[in-house]
Amino acid sequence: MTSEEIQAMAEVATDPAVVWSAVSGRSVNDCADFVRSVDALVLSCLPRLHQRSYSLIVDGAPGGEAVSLPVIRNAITSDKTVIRVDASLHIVRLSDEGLTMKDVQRRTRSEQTLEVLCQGSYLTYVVAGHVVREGDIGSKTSHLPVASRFRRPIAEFDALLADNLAASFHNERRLRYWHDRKKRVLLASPDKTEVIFQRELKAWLEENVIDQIRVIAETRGLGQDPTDITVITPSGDVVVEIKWLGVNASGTKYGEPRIAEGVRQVGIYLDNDSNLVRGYVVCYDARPYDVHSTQSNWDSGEVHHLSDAPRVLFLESESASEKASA
Amino acid sequence: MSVVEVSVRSRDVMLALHFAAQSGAVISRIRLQKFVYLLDCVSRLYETLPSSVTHRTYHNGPYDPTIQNAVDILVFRGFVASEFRKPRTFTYQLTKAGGDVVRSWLRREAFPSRTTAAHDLSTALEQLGWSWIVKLVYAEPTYRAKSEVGFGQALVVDDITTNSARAMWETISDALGRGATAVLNPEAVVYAFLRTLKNIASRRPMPEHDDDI
Repeated sequence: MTSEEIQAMAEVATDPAVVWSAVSGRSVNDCADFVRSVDALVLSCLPRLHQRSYSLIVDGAPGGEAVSLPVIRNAITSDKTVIRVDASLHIVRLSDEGLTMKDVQRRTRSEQTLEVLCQGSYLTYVVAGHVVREGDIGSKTSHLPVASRFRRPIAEFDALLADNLAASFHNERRLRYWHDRKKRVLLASPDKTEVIFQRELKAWLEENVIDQIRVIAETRGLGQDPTDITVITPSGDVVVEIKWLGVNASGTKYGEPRIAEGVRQVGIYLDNDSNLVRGYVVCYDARPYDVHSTQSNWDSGEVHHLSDAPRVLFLESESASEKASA
Repeated sequence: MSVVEVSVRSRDVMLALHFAAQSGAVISRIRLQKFVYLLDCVSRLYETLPSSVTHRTYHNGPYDPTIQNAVDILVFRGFVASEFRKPRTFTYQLTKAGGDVVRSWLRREAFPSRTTAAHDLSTALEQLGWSWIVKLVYAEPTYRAKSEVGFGQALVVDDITTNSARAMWETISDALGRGATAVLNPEAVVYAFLRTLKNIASRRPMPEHDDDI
């Protein structure tokens, strides 16, 4: 065989519709329709599901309802991320089987069927135990999804905050927030100071909370501030109240009482919204270090039982070399 | 050229015209030769032997005079209608009598393997485009190797010891069937074989025929 022939064959042998048709006895047309429908479904759900993982496996049983975003979301929230479907992409049942590549290969080999493992827009088509095609349908370039060292469950909230501080705030690496770094004055425009912090934390949580279904900012229901963030997870919603301390470029000043204010607000949200299972107060502290270390107190009696101590994060304004020379 | 050989080719011609009409394709002399050639290329997939009559390299691709004799006889007997098309070709279609004969074969499940092969080939050509049929044959490895030698070369499409059509689809089957525990669906293998030929044809200049319709 010539290299030209081998190349021409390889392109065909990596078409999941053709391989599945060969193995299953279904018509090539039907298999191609199924693959096209899966690609379209995954792309349409992508803005809501982000990098969540689930899989679609073709089951021999007849299906009912068509698979849609609510079905996939339900599968994720109930931790039954293997969605068994018929060849028309109608749901047969949700299953809590494993989602590793080994699981997928074992299942498809024993059932002689097709399974599509979806990790965001990165799809892996496996037929009868063999990976037939993988790639990102959301972009022309095809990269393997890289596991981020920052990705954690929301339960590791403190580690998420620490990572965010180190990766984005340190030396204003990813986020500009100082108006005058030496005098420790925060920016106040073009975005309001609280919006600067809210936008950064929301983006970080969206990118890195593994078990999030959605991260919402600008929450306006139930009396929350628009600057709060709500993280929706399969085990319930988590609210994050954001405050800042110190002074900003427009002369606004906040001190220690602002911490207690946040504690009380989160308590109110937790009482009023039964979907909330946890509340956090995060205060970005631009005050001088001596003020930060002595005047960062609150009444622990006011802390709601679903919340705990507010996180008062000191914002560094000196680089390592400045510290060394001081 | 024996009576049996012409009868065998008459069956192939009628199946070709039946399934081509089902997928809305017009069959010319050249397309008919190409369809039957491809049918012989994949016949072993359906556990039937290719015709004992050999295709040979000719001006416009593989040629088997028995096919033209068969269609001429079928026209003479009223099973096939021919139509002259400028500049120099004929197109063929089954008459009502010819259609009745094919339908009776399908009902009685006469020649089931050959019928399924013709059906699957026609389905694949419909998916890839009938207008590709000539180029697919020119890209087929048996013909490509022999056409370089000259006219009148016998085309043994199922010789596994050379780079033949069969060697190609056997390789494709191996690639498609990794992990499969049952016999592969021949329809998928035929489709994959033709799509491979189309990929090859797309990458190199192929001759056109003025009577290719």
